[in-house]
Amino acid sequence: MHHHHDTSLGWSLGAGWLHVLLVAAVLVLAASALARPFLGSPGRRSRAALTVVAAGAVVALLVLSDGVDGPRQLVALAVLVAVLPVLVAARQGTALARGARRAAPWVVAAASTVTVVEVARARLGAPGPVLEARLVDSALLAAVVGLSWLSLCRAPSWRVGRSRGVLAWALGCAVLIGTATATVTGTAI
Amino acid sequence: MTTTRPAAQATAGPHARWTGPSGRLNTTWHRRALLVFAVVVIAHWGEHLAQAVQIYVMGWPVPEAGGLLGLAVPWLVTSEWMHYGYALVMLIGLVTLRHGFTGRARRWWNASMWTQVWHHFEHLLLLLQASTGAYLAGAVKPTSIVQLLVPRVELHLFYNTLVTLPMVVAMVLHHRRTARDAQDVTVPACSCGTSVRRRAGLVAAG
Repeated sequence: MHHHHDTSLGWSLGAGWLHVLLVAAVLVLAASALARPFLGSPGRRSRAALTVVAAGAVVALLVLSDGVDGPRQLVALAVLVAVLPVLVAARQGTALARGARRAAPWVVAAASTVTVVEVARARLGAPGPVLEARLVDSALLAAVVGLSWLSLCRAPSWRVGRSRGVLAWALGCAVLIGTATATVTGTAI
Repeated sequence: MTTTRPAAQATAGPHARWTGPSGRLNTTWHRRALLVFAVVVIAHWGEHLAQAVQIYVMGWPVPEAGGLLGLAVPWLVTSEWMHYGYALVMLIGLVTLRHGFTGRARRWWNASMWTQVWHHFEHLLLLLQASTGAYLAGAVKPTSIVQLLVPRVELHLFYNTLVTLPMVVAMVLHHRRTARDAQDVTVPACSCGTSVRRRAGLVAAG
């Protein structure tokens, strides 16, 4: 009836390797975002790889963080929103993929807004280091999700493509700044 | 009229299916493979039901209710590797044996498979937490995603139910459909429902 998940394995690999993988994943995502204005939209394989890396980064971030800014149920939503692009990238041409692609710009906009708000709240004086850490982790989480969905966006025109390139830069920089801040403040990363 | 199509034919045409290294897994060995898989699933359910009796009928404390094998080998119940291993075996079974199903049976089997994909992911996450000592979003013990929404210890029993029910429906539909499939030369031969086909005179007796 019950799985005793409150038990450990009797040994631990430690969380160090997960920290290293997380840093590597966010750096890959940031690098791809910063290169996007010059290289254009990622191809099919690159898109699939980026969504997988982003989903892995989100899971690692959630495991290593002390929580997110909001109710714990948000964690489930964050995982769902991070996993969906993986399915979309793997199953193109389906109704799910078409719907997700239409929704992608809105998800990117929402994720970018959350990133900006959380970074601002963390920088403008969070009450205590615990909440500051949660705000930084939440900003990083939103930025990674935004980058994952950005890889699904298609640019119908040159102007839209340019504006998405700028957005990719902004999110990429947010990921780098978030990573640097988290390294200094000792949060998830 | 007798119909005994070779397994090699199973890999050609519009209903091409993966037949494993032996070339028989989802054709002549499909029935046998499904039986083995069903025995594993039923044994797992037996353990859960024994544990339920120990807790709710015999009034044992939860940590002491180890099912049947768990009483002799307690680490079987407490090991995160064990839980993950079973989830992985289930996933492999559902993925590899799905090629033997067609039509409505295939859709039910796929529903079971995709549920198990998520269930497997949840166990992988639990294993990750147990092996690193870092718990999801600051939790005090390994926690799965849906546990954040439904904090019930019976959650994984519910998952197993969600996986098993469509699997059983798929097996029943597959067994019934095979008699019709046997008359359709575009669908590869499968060992399931042989007795039905034999009664219909479509398979050589003996």
